[in-house]
Amino acid sequence: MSRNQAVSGRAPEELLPLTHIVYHILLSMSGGDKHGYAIIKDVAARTKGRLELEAGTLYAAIKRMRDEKLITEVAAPTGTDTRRRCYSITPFGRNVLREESLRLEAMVELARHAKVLSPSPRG
Amino acid sequence: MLLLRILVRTLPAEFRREFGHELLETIRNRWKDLRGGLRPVGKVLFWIRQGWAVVRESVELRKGAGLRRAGAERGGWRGANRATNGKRKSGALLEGLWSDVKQSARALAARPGFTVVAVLILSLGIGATTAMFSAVNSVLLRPLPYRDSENVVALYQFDSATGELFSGVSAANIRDLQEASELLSAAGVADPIGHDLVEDGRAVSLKSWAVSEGFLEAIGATPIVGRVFSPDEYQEGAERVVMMSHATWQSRFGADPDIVGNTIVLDNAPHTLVGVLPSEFKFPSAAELWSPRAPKPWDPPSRGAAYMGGAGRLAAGVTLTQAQAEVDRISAGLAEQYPRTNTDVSIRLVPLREHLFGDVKSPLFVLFGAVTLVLLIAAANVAGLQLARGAGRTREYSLRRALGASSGRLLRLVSVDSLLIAGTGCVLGVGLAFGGVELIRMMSPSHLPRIDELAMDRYVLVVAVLAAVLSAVVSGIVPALSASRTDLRVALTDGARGATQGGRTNRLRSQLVVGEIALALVLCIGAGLLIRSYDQLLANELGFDPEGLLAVQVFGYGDDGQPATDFFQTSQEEILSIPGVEAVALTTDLPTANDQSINSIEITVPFTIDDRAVPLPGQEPQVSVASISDHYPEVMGLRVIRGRSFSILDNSESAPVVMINEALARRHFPDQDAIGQRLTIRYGRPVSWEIVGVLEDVRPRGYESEPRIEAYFPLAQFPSGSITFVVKAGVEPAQLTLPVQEAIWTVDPGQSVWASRTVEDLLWDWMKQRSFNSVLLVAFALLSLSLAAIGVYGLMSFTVEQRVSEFGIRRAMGAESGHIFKAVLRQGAVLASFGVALGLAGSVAFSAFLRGLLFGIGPFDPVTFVVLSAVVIASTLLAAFVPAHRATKVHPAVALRVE
Repeated sequence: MSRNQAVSGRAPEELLPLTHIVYHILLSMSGGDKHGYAIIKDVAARTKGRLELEAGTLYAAIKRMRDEKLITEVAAPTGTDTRRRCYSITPFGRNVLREESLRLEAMVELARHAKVLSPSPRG
Repeated sequence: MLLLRILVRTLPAEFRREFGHELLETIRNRWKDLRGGLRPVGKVLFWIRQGWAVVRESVELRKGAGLRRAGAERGGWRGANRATNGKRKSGALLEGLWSDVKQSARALAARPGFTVVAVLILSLGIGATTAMFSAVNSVLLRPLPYRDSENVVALYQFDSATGELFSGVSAANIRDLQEASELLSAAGVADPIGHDLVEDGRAVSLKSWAVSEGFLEAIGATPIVGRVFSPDEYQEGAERVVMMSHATWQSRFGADPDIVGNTIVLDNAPHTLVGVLPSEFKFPSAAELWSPRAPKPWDPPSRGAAYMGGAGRLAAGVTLTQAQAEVDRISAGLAEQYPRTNTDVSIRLVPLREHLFGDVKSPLFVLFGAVTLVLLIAAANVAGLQLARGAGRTREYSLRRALGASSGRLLRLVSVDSLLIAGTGCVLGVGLAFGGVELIRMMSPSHLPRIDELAMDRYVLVVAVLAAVLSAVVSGIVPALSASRTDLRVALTDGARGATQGGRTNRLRSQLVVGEIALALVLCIGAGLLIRSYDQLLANELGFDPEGLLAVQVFGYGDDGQPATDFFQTSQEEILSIPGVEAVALTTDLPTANDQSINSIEITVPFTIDDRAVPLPGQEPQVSVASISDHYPEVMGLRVIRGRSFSILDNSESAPVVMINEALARRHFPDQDAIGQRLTIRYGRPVSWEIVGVLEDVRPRGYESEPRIEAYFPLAQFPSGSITFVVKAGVEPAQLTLPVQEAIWTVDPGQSVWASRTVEDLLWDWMKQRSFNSVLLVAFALLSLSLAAIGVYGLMSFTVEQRVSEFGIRRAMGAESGHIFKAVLRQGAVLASFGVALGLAGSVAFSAFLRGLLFGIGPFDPVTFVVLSAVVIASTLLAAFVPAHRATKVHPAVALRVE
C-alpha cells in the first residue's frame, strides 16, 4: 500500500489498535508541541516511571507517525534549543488518539460488565 | 556510548541521517538524568535496553512496520489489555521469550559440536578478560585505604644538578620543612629499621618503620585497635611503644583483641603495644612493627642520605601546585643554609596514587587492552561460527517466516542463541578467571602494589557479565541482521543454496576472519617486542657472576653502638666451615639489593682528587662508597682491571687504601694511571686514600641500571655494622639459607638475620615486572593466534563444503588435485595478506603504547614486524591446509549426489 493512498481520506480506525508506545507519544503531544527528549521525560513522568521509552524506539515511532501524518515537524519555539526538532500533533492525529481512547474505554466497560473490574474506577 | 554509535550504524541510512544524531544526543541527556539514581545493574540495563531498541528498530524499519500493533491481527484484545496495564516495559520484547529460550537451547543441544566450540572460545575470552580486570581492579581501581588519600603526597629529595631523584628523603630536611610549611598540615619520615624479637632463645628481625612525628598524621593512619603514638612518645628517652601490622597481630599474636597495653620484648627491652594498624596499611611498604622516631643527633649532618620514606598532607583547600611552590621556597632557603648537603636539592611532592602506581599503571592498561582484543577475536570467531550455522539454517528461518514469524522474532531467536552461548561462556569464563587470578598472583612481581589482595569481587563479576554481553552483541548482531534479511523466495527455491545469501555470508565471515588475523598480529607483534626487549636486557653485562651466590644481610652493632667487627669475623669463619660453602666475602652494599629482602645501603659522598684544584663546597664530584672484605672480588667474579685487590695486610694499622671502579677511572683519570693517585673522600672525617686497584664496573640494581662511580674501602679500615655476607656455594645456594642462619646463631644467639636470598633471585626480582608483562602478553598473543587459526579453519572448511559440487565437477573435467589444492590455499593466502596488512597498520598504533616497556629496540623494530607477520601468515596457511587437502579428495560422484 503506498503511503499517499493511505493518507488521503483515510479513517482513523484504519490505524487501530495503536501500539501502546504510539498511544503514549500521542497522549504526551496532545499537551503541546515537544521535542523527542521532552517526550521521553513526559511519558516517564506520566506513567510514574513505569514506561521508559528507549531513544531508538521513540525516533522510529516518530518517523512512522510523521509518515502517517499523525504528527508534523514544527519550528522550535523561541527560547528553546533550536537544534532539536520539535513535533506537533495534527488534527488527524488527535482523531486517531480519540478513537483509540474510545476503543480502550469500550473495552474497559466490557470488563466492568464481566465483573473483572469493579464498577467505579477508584472503587 | 561507542558501542551504541556502532549499533546506530546498523539503522537504515535514510533514518540515520535524519535522526541518528538527535537519537544519540537524547540518550546522552537521558543518561545524565537517570544515572545518579541507578544502581550498577540498572546502569548496565539502561545501555542494554537502549542498544536493543536500536537493533530492533533497525530491523523493523527495514521491514516497513506500521503503527499498528504487530499482534493485532492475531488477537487485538489480549494485546490491548496488556498494552494498557502499564507493566510491560518495551513492546513485544518479553512475549514468548521463554519459549525462544527453550527452542534455542534445544537447537544448541542438537549441534553439540558447534555449541561446545562456541562456548569454549567465549569462555576463554571472558575468563582472560575477567582475570586481567581483577588485577587492574585490585591494583589500580580500588580506593586507597588512607583517610582523604587525595591530600596525601609522597616526598622525594631531588638533585636538580644531576637530575637524580632519590628513593626518599632525609629526616632533618623534612623536620625543617614541617616547621616552615604552612600549606602542609603534616609531614614526616619513616626510617627502615629492624626490631629483634627473641623466639625460642634466638633473635629474629622484624621489618619495621621508625616514624617521625607527623608521618602517621600525614598518611592518615587509623588503627583498628588501640591508638596512634602520642606527641611525648616521639621524644628521646620516652617510654618505648610500638604499633603492629594487622598481619603480625594475626600471625604472631593470634589476633588477640586485648593485646593493646601488653608488653613485648624487642631489642632486649620491654615495649608497650599501643595499637594495631589495618591490613591495607602498607606505606612506605609493608612492615611488621611501627615505632616512634625521636630526632637523632646524626640527622642534621646526614641531609644528603635520602633513603627514608617521606609523606606529607596538603592542608584543606591547598592544591599540589601551591604546596610545591611553597616547598620549593623552603628548599631554596635550606640550600643557602646548608650548601654542603643541600645545594641544588629540592623536595618533590608526588600524589600518593602516582607514587604507588606510576610504574605499573601503563603496563597494566596495555595488558588489559590486549586482553580486550582477545575477547574481540573470540567474539568475532563465534560470530563467524554463528554465520556458518545461520547459513545452514537459512531454510529453517525461511520456513518460520513463511509460517508467520516476524523478522523481529527471528532476530530475537538468533539473539537468544548468542546470549545463551555467551551466558554459558560467562559462567565457564568466571571459573577460568578464578584459575587465571591464581596464575597472575603467582607470577606477579612483588612490588606490584596491592597485588597480594588480588581477588574476585562483585565489580569483577560485573565486568565478566559486561564482557559476556559485549561478546553476545558482537557475535550475535551480524548473524541476527543477516537472518532477518533472509529472502523467502531464494531460500525456499528447491536446490538453491542461496547464492546471494551464501555470498553475502561468506563475505561477512571473510571480513570477520581478516579482522581476527589482524588483531592476532597486533598482539603477536606486541609480545614479540617485549620478548626482544627482554633478550636485549639479558645481554647486558652485569660485571659480576651471580651464579651460586647466597646473600645474607645482618645488622650487627655492639652495646657501644660500634660495628660488631669481631662477631662478623667469627661468623665468616663459622660460615666457611659449613659443608658446601666454597668462599665467603663481606660487603656493605651488595649489587642487586632491592630493599624488598636485601636492603641497599647506598652511600654517596663528595670527594676530591689530591693535588688538583679543590671545587667549591657542594660542587665536588660524588662517589658511591662501600666497604668490602679481601676476597670480595673473587667471590663476586669481579675482575681486577689494574693494580691489586685488598689483602689481609690492609688493616686498621696500615696506610689507608682504596679501590675504584672503571667508571671513576674513566671519568677522572682518562689519560693517566689511577694507581698511586690519592682521593680525599669526605665520609665523616676527610681522609686521603691511596688508589691501589681498579675494579670492573657492575650494574648495581639489576640489568637495567647503569654502572655508578664507585670506590671500595677495605672493611678492616672502614668498618660497618651493615654487612651482607656473600656466600659462594658449591651446592644450590638456597639450601644454605638455614645452615648460614644457624652458624650466625652459634656465634651469637641474640643476633638476628635481616634477610637472605640468592643473588640470582635478587636479579630475577628486578626482572619480574618485565617477565610478568611479557608472559601475559605472550599468552594473550598465543591465544589470539589460535583463535584466528580456528576462524580461518572454520571458514575454509565451510567454503570447501559449499563448493563440493564445483570441485567434483572440476575433478570430473580432469582438473588435477594439486590445482584444486592451490585454489583453496590461495583463498587462505588472500585472507592472510589482508589480515596482515590491516594488522601491521594496527601494530603501528598499538606498539606506540609499548614504547615505555621496551629496552634496546624501537616500537617499530623491523625484525619483530617481519618475523611475526611471517608467523601469522604461516599459521593462517596451516589452518587452511586441512580444508584444502579435503577439497582435493572430493570424488566426482559426491558432487552429483549433492546436486
